[in-house]
Amino acid sequence: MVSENDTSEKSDTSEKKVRVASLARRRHRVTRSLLALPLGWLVLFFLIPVSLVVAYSVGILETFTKEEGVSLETWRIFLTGENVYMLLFIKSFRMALIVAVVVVILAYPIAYFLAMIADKYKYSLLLLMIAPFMTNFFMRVMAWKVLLGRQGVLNSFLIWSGLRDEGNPIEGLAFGEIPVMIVLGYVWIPFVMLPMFAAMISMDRRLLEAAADLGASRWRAFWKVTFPLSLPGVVASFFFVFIPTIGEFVVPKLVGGTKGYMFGSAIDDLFGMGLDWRTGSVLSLWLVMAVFILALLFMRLVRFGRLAES
Amino acid sequence: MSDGRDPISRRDFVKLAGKGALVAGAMPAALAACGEDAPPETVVVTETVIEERIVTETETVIEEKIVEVEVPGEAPTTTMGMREAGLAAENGADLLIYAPPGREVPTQWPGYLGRFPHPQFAATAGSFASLGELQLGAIEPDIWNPCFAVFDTAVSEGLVQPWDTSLIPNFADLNPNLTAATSRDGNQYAIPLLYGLAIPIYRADLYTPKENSYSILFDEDLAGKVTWTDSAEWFVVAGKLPENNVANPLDPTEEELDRLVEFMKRKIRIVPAALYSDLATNQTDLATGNIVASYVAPTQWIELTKQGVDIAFITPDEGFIGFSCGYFLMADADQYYHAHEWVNAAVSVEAALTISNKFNFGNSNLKATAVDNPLLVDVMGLGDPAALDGVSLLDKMQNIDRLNDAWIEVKAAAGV
Amino acid sequence: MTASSSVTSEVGIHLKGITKTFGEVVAVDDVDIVIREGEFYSLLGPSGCGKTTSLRMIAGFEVPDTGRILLRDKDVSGDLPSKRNVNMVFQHYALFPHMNVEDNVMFGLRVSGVRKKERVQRVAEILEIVRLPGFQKRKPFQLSGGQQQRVALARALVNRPSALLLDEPLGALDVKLRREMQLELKAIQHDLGTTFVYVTHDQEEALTMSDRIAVMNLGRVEQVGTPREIYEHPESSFVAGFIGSLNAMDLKIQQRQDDTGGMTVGEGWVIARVDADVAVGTTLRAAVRPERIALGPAGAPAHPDGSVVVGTVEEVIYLGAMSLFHVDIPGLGQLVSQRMSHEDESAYRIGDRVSASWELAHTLVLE
Repeated sequence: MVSENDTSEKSDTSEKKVRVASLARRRHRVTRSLLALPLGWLVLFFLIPVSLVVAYSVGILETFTKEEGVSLETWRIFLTGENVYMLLFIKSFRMALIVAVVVVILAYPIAYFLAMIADKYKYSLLLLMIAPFMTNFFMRVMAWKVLLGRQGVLNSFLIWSGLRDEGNPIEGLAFGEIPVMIVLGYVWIPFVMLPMFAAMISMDRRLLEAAADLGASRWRAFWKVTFPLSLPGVVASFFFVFIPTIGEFVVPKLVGGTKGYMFGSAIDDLFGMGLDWRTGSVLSLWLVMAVFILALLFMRLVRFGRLAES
Repeated sequence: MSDGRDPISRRDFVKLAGKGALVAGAMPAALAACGEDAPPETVVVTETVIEERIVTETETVIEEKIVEVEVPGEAPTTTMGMREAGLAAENGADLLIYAPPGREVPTQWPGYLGRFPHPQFAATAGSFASLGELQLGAIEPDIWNPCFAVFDTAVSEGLVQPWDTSLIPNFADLNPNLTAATSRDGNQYAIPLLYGLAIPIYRADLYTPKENSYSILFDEDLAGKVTWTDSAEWFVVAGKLPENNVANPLDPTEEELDRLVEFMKRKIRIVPAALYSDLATNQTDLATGNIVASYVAPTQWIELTKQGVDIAFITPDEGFIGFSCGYFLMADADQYYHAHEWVNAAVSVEAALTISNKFNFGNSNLKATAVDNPLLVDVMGLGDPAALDGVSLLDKMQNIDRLNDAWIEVKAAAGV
Repeated sequence: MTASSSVTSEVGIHLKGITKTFGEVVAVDDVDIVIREGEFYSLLGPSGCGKTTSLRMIAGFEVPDTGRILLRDKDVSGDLPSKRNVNMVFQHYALFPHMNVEDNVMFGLRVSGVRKKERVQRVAEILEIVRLPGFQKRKPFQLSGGQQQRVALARALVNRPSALLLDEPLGALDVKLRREMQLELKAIQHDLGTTFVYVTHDQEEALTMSDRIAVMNLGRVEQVGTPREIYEHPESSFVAGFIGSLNAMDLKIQQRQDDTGGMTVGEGWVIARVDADVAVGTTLRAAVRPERIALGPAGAPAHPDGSVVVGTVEEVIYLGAMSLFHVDIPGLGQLVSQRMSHEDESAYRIGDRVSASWELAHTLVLE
């Protein structure tokens, strides 16, 4: 009796085990096929193109017969600063940093207002903020030329009002580093607002009540509670601007003039007019790596933020 | 042209190119010549084209009649049989011509339609951009119409093959300076169509040049009031200045190029705004006096003069820089005979006159002197085989990728 | 629970004629509440009764439309929350997620400028009291619900407020933990002697912990009293119904004698103490709590001097320590009797004919 019972129980459990295992396998298969799509995507649209660019950068592939051979020479020249592009990268990095910081600082109060104060009108106002950005990108950039150019609205007004002489308009607003940064900032502000808005809107309002209850003034509650909790949004916003700005080349082309030339402009030119895909590839890869490292940093920061929120 | 770039770049580039306002070609002055059919403002383009098409249809009918009469005596009898056989073996409707937008208007190749099927056209977005695309095999035309700063690269890379000039009766009428610049080792690799001089111009009421030289474009007194084009040909311009002491500005030595790069890095700071690729803005700036000196194709000088702007040009003591544009026969062209027929039509006297009258360029056909604008005859020396003697034709630039690299570094340095 | 020894006769919090409306809705309607210093005072009622709004007005998050709020005789009606010496424990704790336990608890001390050394010491002390010693460096997300609850409590108590306001603080905990925390909260309150104002919708919680309870309904205070008073002598059918279970019935007075009145039900009767002015023929609303109803053989009721009715057992629900008997009484309806499961009378089965009886004092006359 006893032994019979035992065996039946054993077979029962082993059957169960088998069933569980097959279930697990099936789940595994499903997971694997689910992974295939993004993986394939990654291979097709990232790894293969990047490998090609790597091949160009070391001379394995070339578009024009230059017979320079396979070497890291182009890398060496770039990394040792023998040509000007490392300096140009630093300049672009600096510009992107300034644009990102300024834009985040400017957008923060707007996001704060919309999320914390605007109450039931917040989404309508948000839409209003974004509405101008549904117009064509070039039109928006060109509008700045109209505003800031030598014969632009600003200068016309200054001359009309007698604040400046006819022959002496404010220069350097239509072209150069500053206009590039102004235009980029203008282009990015609404997008930058969104992550911060999202971070603030998802914040538990009772935390502010708790702070007030514990004696904190509004100012103190903002700095001790709202601000630290909106930091993940701030970080996200910062990178939203920083990453595209550092590789920007369209806006420099439109309003950069000779002084507003950026790292992205050089990549654009090297692949285009320069027919120098090798140097272009080195610069592109460097940019990809820089952005990648920053993105990692960014994800770490945001993850930290998420942990803090949960 | 942008395979190795990230998708955003490419998309933006396409947008840019599509806009037509900002073509980032390597040599916009030359590009101006190539894109002569596209007047500066996009809106105007369409109007012009439509207008021309209407004119064309009636003209074509007339041309057909003339051609029919002329054909029998046109080609030498020796190649006659081969030519006929060759044409018959091809499918002329497949003839693909890769040219700046506007070249598809039949008045620019009169006499071809009616005898042969309508060819196909694809629009280029600048000489160097199209060079890249051809090299990658992104497009496989029979005929390619760039400006010849790409000549050295195109020939060295084996992209193009020599024309059989015996199949191009009009070739005999072409300017020998231009045909010489586009031949190598006795092979005629290109058929020139038009040319221009890169002239320094200035507002005579606002400035008095110190000397007759391209040096006006590097004059620090004009800092902030000079425009350059976005092109490596500035090494040629700078190389022509006696102070830079370059033996052959069209092919500087490494040492000379290094010196030129330093010179250019110093001088680019006097350029206030953009290295223009937008002719309309440049013209407006000159008209308003925002810009006092510039470097243009004669086209713009003529247009500004027409507008009544007090504009003068300098005939540099060191000699002019010139450019020409025209037709390459692609190495793997499969409409060989139709290509020759078409090119012959495209450099005919009628075609040449159209080019000069519509766009104020010099034309390669020495017989096409009856242009509407007498200024053009004077300035460009139309019809004079010796007119381009001593002109540094950019067609003869060697190893231009070296110069392009150097040019991009100069621009990058200006930004640092 | 008996009243704790910390209760004094001094007035801690006084809500005087408070009314608060949100748009059209009257959340709090002319409420007067007096909470004594050191008292564990509960505001009890269903959701929307105005208890939380009242608490938030004491904290300062809402401003009353009319009336005044006095804290230790000082009118604070117009003061910001940060200026009031009361602290709140929020429903979902509202711990600062980006700060560790120590910084959370220290928040109020920092704001009021307590020196670092004292701050650290006070935090350690209060964490000891809420039984979280050594938890200083933990982040809130690393804590269980009960632990978060204690941190919230510590964060409020460390400021030594004149009163602690608790807004359904145990609502998010499971039943077992809630029971534990109830006792613990009560113990902490007892030890510290701080006035606790406790908002809950859970009548058992209120009965367990409170010195006094204000039962609220529709923005008004229905009754204030000790748990025993509230339970045993509900003054309205709402209070009676809200606190504990109830067998409600219409009592049509057929006979009067001294201070009692009654009616016959089949072969039995229901009697209650009634006021002198209640005439024969009046119908009153009456009730009896299930645990007061004793069961006995049909002919031998347990409380022959009180109310006695006879009926049939329809349902027996076993609850462990307790059992519920649903007895159908012809002419009266169903009565629920709650008995201890180990008692003899719990031997009755469905279909048994039984007498249900209770003492005179246990017939509650509600209106």
